[in-house]
Amino acid sequence: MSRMSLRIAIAALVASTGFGNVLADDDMDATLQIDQGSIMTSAGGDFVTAADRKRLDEGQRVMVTEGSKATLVYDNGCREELVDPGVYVVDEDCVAGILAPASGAAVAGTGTFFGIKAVPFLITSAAVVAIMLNGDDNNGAAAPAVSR
Amino acid sequence: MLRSAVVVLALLFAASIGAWRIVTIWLADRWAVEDPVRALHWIDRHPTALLALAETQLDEGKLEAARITARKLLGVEPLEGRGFRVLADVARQQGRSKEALALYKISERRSPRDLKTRARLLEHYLQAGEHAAAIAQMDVVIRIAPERKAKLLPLMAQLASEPEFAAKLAQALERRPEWRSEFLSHLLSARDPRAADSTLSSLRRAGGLTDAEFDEWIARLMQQGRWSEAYVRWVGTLDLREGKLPLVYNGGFEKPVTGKGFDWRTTKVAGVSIEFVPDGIAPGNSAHASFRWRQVPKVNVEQPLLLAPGRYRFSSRVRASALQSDRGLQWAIVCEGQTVPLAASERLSGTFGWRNVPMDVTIPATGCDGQWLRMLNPAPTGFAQQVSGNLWFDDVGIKPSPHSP
Repeated sequence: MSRMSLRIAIAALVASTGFGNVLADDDMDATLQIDQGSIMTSAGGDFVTAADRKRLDEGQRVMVTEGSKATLVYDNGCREELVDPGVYVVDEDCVAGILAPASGAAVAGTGTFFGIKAVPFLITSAAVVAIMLNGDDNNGAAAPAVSR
Repeated sequence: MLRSAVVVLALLFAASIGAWRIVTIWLADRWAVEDPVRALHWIDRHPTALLALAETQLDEGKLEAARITARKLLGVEPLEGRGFRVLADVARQQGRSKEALALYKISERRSPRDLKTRARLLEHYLQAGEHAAAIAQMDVVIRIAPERKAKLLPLMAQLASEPEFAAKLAQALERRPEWRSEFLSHLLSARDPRAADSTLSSLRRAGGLTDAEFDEWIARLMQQGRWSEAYVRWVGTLDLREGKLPLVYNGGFEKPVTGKGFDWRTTKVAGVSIEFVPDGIAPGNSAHASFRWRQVPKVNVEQPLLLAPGRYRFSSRVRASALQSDRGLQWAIVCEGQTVPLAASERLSGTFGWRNVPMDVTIPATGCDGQWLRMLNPAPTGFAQQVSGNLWFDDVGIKPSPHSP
């Protein structure tokens, strides 16, 4: 069963008990946890310095400046980490992990896991050596003194 | 007479010896690199030939022979670092890495211009994660072999994708090596933006980034379409004492216009001049554009914006004195990279006192990551674009539309 189908099924089941609206709305809200530095938020207008544990709605923007970090904690327990400087948009869907900032002002959509670390040193070091060894035959060094 | 003959013979013999010596040296020198075996036939302790032979043996995989030849070379020329380099190569290929490293370091000290030694040391430092040492090697190579710089700098920019390498690189850049500005240019052009982000962030934190370099970084981010990152980095330079950042920065022109980041920018447009001065009528500063009856496609002041998708209400106070043009001037908001405005205000002309000019704009959900706020001349190119008179504007601002959902 797809994720969306499961959500619909659960929502229908819960709705039958009369408590559907409460749980469906809570899923989309998040709490801002300021981990480091200063964070600003915007509800469409000016950016304003945010307080820790501020509640955020879908569509609100979060600005993380250099040296700052924050976490969006969704009501379902899912956590999105905002570590790179940028403007982030609170989305209805939480994707656990490190979120990528929006490219501009557009909604980021589902988060992008950005935790892959590039470790190409073994390959790149060989490329660097090749760059240094290719060239003139004299290898850039003076001929040795001749002892006779 | 006999005595004279003996002397002559002795002289002839000495001359022959001398001539033979000259010939053998010439022949050995002639073949030292091309055919070291032949050269050593003439002089079996010829250092250049011994080195060439050792390297050839190494290339052919004859490690033990290379080692013996290298040791013979060092017996003749103890200060010849490249002999130690051959021994190091042998040790490395035989798996004795610690011994190899020690020998490479001796070679480095005795033959500081030997690129092969530096290449192997660089390889070691990169693989060992000794980034500072690796960068130091590259710095030396660039100085002793400038022809390598064109390829080495772009590779260094790639390596800077690794945050720890970038941090060490920033420290090296703080010392202002001669390749610094050329390298920063490569860095900003690198395909992987993480390289520039890591290095320039580290450099900025250490106070080693000049204002011009920072501005260039912001400009490149915007060129790459990374407006939100450009925005927050620019915001980091601001003194937001009230903890508030309006959607239009410095809309009242009370702060000096810097032309940087997401502040107002003045551009060169023939036929119009702009100044930010006390108005004399309204409190504080305002922008004053003066037109000299030339073709003006737009007023020479604009501001980049980072508006999220949604509906907004723009407003500005404006007054004019003898403002004449074919179709008036109008505020407009244009998506980055596009020419057709998303919205345009009423057209302004004539003489009038301070009044509010509103404009509603809707930012689409896609295809408009950043916007430009400009005052445009909607007349077609040509004489119709001629403008004269004076225009003042102030209190420029944008707020979410009261009718937004």
